Amino acid sequence: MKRDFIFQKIFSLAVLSTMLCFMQPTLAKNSALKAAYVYQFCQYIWWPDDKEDLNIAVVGGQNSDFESIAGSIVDGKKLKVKYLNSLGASNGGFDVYFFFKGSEDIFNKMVEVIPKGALTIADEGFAADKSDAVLYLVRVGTKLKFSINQDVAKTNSIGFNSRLLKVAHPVEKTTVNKGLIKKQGFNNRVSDDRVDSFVAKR
Amino acid sequence: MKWFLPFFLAIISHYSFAAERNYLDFSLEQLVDYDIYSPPVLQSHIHWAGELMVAYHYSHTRTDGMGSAETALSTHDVFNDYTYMVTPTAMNMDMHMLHFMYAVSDQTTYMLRLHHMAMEMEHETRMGGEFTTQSNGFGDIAISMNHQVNEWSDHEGNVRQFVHASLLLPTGDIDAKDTTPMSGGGQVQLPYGMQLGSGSYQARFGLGVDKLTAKDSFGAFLMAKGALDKNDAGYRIAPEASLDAWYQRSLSNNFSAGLSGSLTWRGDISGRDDRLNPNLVPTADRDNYGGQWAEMGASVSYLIDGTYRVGMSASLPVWQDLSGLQLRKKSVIELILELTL
Ligand SMILES: [Cu+2]
Repeated sequence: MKRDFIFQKIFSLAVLSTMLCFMQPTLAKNSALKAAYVYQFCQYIWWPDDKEDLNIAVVGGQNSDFESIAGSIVDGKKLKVKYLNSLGASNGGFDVYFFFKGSEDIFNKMVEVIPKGALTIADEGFAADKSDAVLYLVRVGTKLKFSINQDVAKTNSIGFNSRLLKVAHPVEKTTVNKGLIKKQGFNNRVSDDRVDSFVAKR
Repeated sequence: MKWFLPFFLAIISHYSFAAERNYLDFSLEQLVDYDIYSPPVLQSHIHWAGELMVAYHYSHTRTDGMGSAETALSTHDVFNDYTYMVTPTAMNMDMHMLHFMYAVSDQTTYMLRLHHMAMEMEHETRMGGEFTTQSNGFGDIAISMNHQVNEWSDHEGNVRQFVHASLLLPTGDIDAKDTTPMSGGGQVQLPYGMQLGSGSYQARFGLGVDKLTAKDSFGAFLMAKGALDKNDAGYRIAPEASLDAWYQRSLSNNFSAGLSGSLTWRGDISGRDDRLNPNLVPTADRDNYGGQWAEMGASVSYLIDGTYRVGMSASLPVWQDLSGLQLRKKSVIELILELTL
């Protein structure tokens, strides 16, 4: 009986340690999915003809999140990925900006230096002012979808392929969430009626 | 014990072949239709890194009427063909399960399962009397891991491969007692099937595969479970193996419905609990355990706000082949409440 007991303990430890072996960081899957979105977006945006590379700034994530698309060629243009985690002099001059959830502060401060014509994309669950990002990811039911801020796109002279417009999750006019949005730290520069028109239907 | 080896090897070998996949093959339309929630199947349940899920499952299992091999037997048949003094006639089990899941990475989710069982067995004696025995309490705690070893996409969707490992701790009672008309008012040891735990450390290993497309998901899971050694009462509960297959279809962004099928094999109890008299009632005889079951089920599931999921499922046996003489399974109904943080 005693030998049995020791055997059980040893085997149990073996099973547990096998389980713990898997506890190593592996490639983040959700960021791979988001990277794939950025890859698709780059394909359906009208870029100026003279652009050779597309410089992508990834703000607030891990330094390997967009590895899967770095170096890919879209429409003859090479995707170059740079990871930004704080405010710095080099924050301007990118063609695409992706803001991960949690980088709201940086987003609000960076808005000033983002060049006109740059494509800004906000993560799902992004609490800051979505109406300043051209595109944003949004969870709809069991899916991860995206919506377009048409007005912001227009102000920034960004043109979309109609396929992007067709697939985008529709933005519906609603006033119900206005108070909540303000509480969540929506940018004060945006007037109430602009908020009204940019709240996505959940 | 030997059956552990192939599973162990499979897990290790799967692990070393773990490959990266990417979603770059997806079109824009496929991306927006891709299900980021695992289908409501516990075995292939993984979450995104950092997600915590609490799931509550309630199930009611009903067994009714005796049977041997594939044949149903009436109480009359049992007393005519066998020498037992008492026979069970039906059993109800209510189970409350609490799962805590935490994803340490996008590939690996750990789980802790606690469950409480309440069982009630109805009997008839050879003299025509009737009585019921009951047991209730917490069962064996399970510590589990679901790990996605591989994922690749084709033009329709994503295929994922999983391994599962669990360690079950002997926290459930194996000394549950109750009174019977024959016990003269005293408490007697209840049979194997009325005990809340196994009394042994148990391991469970599984391999699974599923495919998620824009509109539906389907998969299969193979599992084996066994006790590592005999318990203090001198027996080892029966090993078990099962094959589950399921199909889920999204009917809207939030609502899905599914069909499932399972094949279960249960082996024999080894050793015996000397506190039981195997000549008195079939459930006290270790030879009346084990068998094979084929079941079919249907389910619906609704996701609220991306945070809560409520679901319901029901399954019925379509075929059962019982070792010895035992109660026949009738139905399982399950209610599911999940909260993802
Ligand atoms: Cu879960």
